[in-house]
Amino acid sequence: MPSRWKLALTGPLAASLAMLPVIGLAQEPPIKAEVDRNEVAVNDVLTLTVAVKGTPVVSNPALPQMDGVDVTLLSRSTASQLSIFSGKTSVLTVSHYRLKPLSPGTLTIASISLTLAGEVYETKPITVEVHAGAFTPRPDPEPAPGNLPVAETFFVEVEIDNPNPYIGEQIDYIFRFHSALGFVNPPRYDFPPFIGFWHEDETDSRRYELFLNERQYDVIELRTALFPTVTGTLIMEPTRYGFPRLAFRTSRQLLTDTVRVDVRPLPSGAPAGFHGAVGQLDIDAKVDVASTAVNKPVTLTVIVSGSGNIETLPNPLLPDVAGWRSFAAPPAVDTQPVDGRIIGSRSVKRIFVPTVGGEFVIPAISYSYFDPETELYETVSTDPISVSVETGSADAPPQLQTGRDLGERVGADIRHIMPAPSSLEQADGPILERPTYWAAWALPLIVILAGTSWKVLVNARRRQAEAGVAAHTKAMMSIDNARQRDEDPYDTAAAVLTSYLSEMLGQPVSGLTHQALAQLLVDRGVDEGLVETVESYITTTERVRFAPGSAEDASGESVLDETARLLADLDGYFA
Amino acid sequence: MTRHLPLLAVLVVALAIWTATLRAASPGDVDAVAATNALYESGRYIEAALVYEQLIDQGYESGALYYNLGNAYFKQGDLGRAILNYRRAEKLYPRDADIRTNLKIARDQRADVYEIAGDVFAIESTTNPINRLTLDELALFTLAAWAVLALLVLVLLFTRRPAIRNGAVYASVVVGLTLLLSAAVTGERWYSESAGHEVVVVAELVDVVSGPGTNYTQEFTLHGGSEARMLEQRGSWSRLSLPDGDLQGWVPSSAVEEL
Repeated sequence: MPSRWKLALTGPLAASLAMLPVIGLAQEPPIKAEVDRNEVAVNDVLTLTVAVKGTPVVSNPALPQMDGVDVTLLSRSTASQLSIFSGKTSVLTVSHYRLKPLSPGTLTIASISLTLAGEVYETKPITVEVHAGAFTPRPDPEPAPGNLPVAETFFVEVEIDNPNPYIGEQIDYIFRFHSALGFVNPPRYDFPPFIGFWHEDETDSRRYELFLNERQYDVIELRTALFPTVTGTLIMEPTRYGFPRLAFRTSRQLLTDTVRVDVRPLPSGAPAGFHGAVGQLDIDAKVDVASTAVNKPVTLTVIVSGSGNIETLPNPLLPDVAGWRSFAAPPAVDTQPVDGRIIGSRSVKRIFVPTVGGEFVIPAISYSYFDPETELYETVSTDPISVSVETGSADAPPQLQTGRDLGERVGADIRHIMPAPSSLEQADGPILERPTYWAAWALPLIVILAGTSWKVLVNARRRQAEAGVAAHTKAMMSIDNARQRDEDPYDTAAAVLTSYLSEMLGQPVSGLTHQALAQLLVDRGVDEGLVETVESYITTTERVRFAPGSAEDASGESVLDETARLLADLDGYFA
Repeated sequence: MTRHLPLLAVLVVALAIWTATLRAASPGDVDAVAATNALYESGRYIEAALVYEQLIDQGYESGALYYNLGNAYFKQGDLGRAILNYRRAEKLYPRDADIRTNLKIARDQRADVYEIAGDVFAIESTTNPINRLTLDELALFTLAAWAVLALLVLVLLFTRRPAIRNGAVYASVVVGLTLLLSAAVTGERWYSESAGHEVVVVAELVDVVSGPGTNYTQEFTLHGGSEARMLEQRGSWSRLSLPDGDLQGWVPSSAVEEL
């Protein structure tokens, strides 16, 4: 140990120099594009992966231009993950494009540009050779044995214990930090966002010594259990390891390689009761009492246990029993890592309340899962459980244990977070502070004012119509009286017409000139021909009245008839 | 009356469209909330709280956001900020049982216990049915009452049938009184929310002194999560009044946050 401490004091300069190329990787561009293969055959499937890292407002780039070969886009999937590093939030969005070349040649995928904070970033163009016939890809060169980065004083690496798992199968993300100078501070590491995985935090950690190329390293190994939740190619960004400050004057970072995992879908042939459980599982069921009475509850507990992603396992389907009421209780989950594997149990309870007496059987409960080790679907079942129910006295129904009671028995906790809302609104204060709200208040007022005005108008027209009827009736009575009393028809006609027009126009017309009267009639919408007729008729009656000798051959009856016709014609305009 | 129905229908629809536009809002980054929820669910409460705070700083407002942020603080043991954000969530979702439950759990865990008949703020927020409505809902209800009253006035203007007119008169009286009551309640709520200055102690522990400075006498101590009203501010000091009204004093403004 003393020699190690000496190294820790003299090593910073050498370690800093050794770290330079690694630290340079930290300046990665915010957009990256890559293909899974650079040589494919026609009709093979090629995956283009575009990763964009930036603030939440960065939009995803469009599918780039492709030249040289006809290509069809089979599918596109996008996953996003928020992450925080050094107090800054960023969003990593990874899009996978599954492409199918339809003709041979050289496919060129153009560069993709992204503008971020006024700066334009571009990926390099990618070329892919598309062969006409069947194409066998060249195997990747194997790393030479012993060709490890042991020359460095510090290095980090990650390993996936199974890079080709089934969906839902546990894999281990193994991170190792190698130090030739021993450990002076606890490690500070930042795992990448495990997009497409359910993960358990640090399921195992250990420290050990390792000799590589005649050099002793202290190794910190951290294991994280991952459970793929989607199929296809998943890329994990590098893990960042923050260097202890005592070894360097300023903090440094080491980055691991990017890790790729190809997740396989589950094989076909799943049994009918299979709902996605993956692992090695067993099932057990029990009741708290085998003998009970009517209205006294029986609690059925079904436990699914074993290894796998217990947290997300589907609950077993619990049966109902005819004649019993049943109440569900929330499931309880207990997991722990054992030898790097996540094992545990998922317990589901159902409270039954028999309503009739007799012998009952809770049927067997089956649970199907996929075992990734044997690559087979398995189905496990409980035994049927017999319960004897005595009729007993007609007691009042018992106080049932509710989910809250069950929760209080195992410990209290706050209620869980809410899901993301369907949309987010900008905080813009109460609507009382918005002008539109107060404008909305004016709308009913406008409606009331418009209605009142309309009502006033309608009433005025009705009153006018009533006045017109009264004036017409009065005029006709005057004409009838004139006929009966043999009065002068011209005097009667002039008086009737003057009185009628005065009432209909709302003002005396006897003092008006003919032109003024005609203008009033025109203003009220009376036809100009009728106005001329009225004007002419009034002129005629006045001439006869004031110069009897000039009377035409019109009889008294015809004058009065003409007056009545004129009144009828005028009614059409004043009604 | 029936010949005026089309006109009334058009007016009602116009009013509905008008008021609907009052609620229009721009969509936000829902994916960010979902991703932050995943952080929370993986136990990374500190990071989740940071991102929730950042989303709120960007101007987004949601009861779910405040509630989740309250949960993230509660999981860190920060009762002050948990209660603060539960209270903010409660203002937006006053009928949500989860928010009330978690607020009660957080209040039960805080160190300061008031000797008066409970926490008046808590009583106000849970027992008064009016407080189950948000300020926006009250404002819209008042506006709707005004619109209904206007329709009843139109019915009175255009209907001659005595039975309908009598019904409209009685309804107008009821709606008019409702309108007055609703307007009064809305105004009172508006005033109290804009000028109420309710605060929550977010410091773990803060000494309450008799004046705005460190040279004054320490009178008592408040723990994180205590709720109070801020009476005034002088410089970097705030004068608080506790629910019982008798306990008052000054604390550094950084120790409290307004709702």
